[in-house]
Amino acid sequence: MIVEDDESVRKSLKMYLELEGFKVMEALNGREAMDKVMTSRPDIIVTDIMMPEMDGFQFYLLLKDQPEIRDIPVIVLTAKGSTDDIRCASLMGVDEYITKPLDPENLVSKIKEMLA
Amino acid sequence: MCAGRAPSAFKNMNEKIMDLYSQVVKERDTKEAVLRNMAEGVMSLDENLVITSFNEAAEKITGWKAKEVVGKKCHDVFTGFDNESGLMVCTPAACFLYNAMKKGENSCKYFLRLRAGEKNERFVEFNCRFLKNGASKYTGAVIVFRDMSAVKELEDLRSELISTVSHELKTPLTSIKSYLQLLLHPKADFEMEKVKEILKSVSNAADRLDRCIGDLLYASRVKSNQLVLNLKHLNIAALVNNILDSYKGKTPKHRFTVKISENLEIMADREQMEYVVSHLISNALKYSPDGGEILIGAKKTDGHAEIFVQDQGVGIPAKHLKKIFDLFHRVDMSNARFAYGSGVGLFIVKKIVETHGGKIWAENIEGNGSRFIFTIPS
Repeated sequence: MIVEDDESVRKSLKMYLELEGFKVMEALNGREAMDKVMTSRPDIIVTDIMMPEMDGFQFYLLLKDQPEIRDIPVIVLTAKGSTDDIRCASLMGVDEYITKPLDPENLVSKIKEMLA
Repeated sequence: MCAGRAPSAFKNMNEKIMDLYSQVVKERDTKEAVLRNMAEGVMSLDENLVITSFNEAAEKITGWKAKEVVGKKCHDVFTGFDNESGLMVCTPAACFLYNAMKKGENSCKYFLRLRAGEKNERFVEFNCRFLKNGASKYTGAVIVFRDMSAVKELEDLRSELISTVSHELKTPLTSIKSYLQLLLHPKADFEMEKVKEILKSVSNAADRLDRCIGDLLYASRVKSNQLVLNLKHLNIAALVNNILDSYKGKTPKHRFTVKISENLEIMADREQMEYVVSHLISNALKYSPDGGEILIGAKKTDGHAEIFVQDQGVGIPAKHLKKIFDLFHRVDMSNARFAYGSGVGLFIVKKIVETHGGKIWAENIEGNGSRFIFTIPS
């Protein structure tokens, strides 16, 4: 599942991942993602941080609070490069952290590694 | 003869003592005046870390009066948290002064998040110098502390700015990179139409990047007052309608209403006025995600034209109403349903209006939405 508010980034990543053979679900923000995760459990989630309505960190915490879905691995994808956010991500125990502009090839290898 | 001199010798001695006493009092008063008028908070502690003096600046920073704290143990008065770890470091069990003394140190420095008195949380830099009798026996400490809250606020703003600018620049760059990698993918076998569609998306993302960089450069030019006006008579209705033409068919949820008399003119720079009106309209659209009416109006007032853009959107939280025109100020949007912005647009808008000799302000409309109003000499 890709959780990203920017349509262009979301679509480009979706197309790239589909070309790699993945089936991709989309969500525009944390709240929408949470609803979708509850009904159709994805194998892995790639989420942005800065999103309206519910940001990536809030979504992550909510996800990890639910026993039935907390095992879904999460890759946090963000343009934030500040040390504060990296520290925040590591304090929260985020599984994987990639900074934009990302290399989609790199994203694919991370996804494969985490699903292996 | 000697007995005859005694009263005069006593008198001399008395005078000397009085002189010395006045000198001591003068020195004490000078020191007290220096301490009282220092911008930094100063407090002294005895060997048991009990507060023995507390100057006026210390009172101002903490909100406590000297008489309330003198005689109490430092860690019983202050509640401080380490700025880095967030751990409390002003408790009897974890007092940073006591820890430094245990290590035999002569001084220590700490940046604390301080909760003191009735005041809000302050960020305070503590510089402590221990007083010693000989090599190891501590006899007390003098602590000079500075309120760094304003510096911390600037630091937070700088960090917010880096993250915002970085988000605004890196997001379109990510989609450009992803689309190009998609076209270069070994399994990519797209029809020409699909390739064109992808390239159009790349071009749109590049335009967005260009706009963002342009806005940042524009903001920096505006900030250093390098705005040059090319003043001409402009018909407001024509200018607004021209801008609205570019939105035709693009925002089906919104309807535009224009209430401007046809002959209303202003003396203004066309390009800059287009920026102002376009930005206010695009803001109105962005902050009314459920749609509604966007009303653009103008009327003639005393020597000015008053122009407004009004939406039926989410409105502006009261505490942000004045600050929204500050550079990089953004309303916290984690609970709202609209996209992030770079925080430079309204700053540019305000500077343009002011350079034209006008004013701009924002207000909330009772019920829903907000209204941005600006004046330009007519």
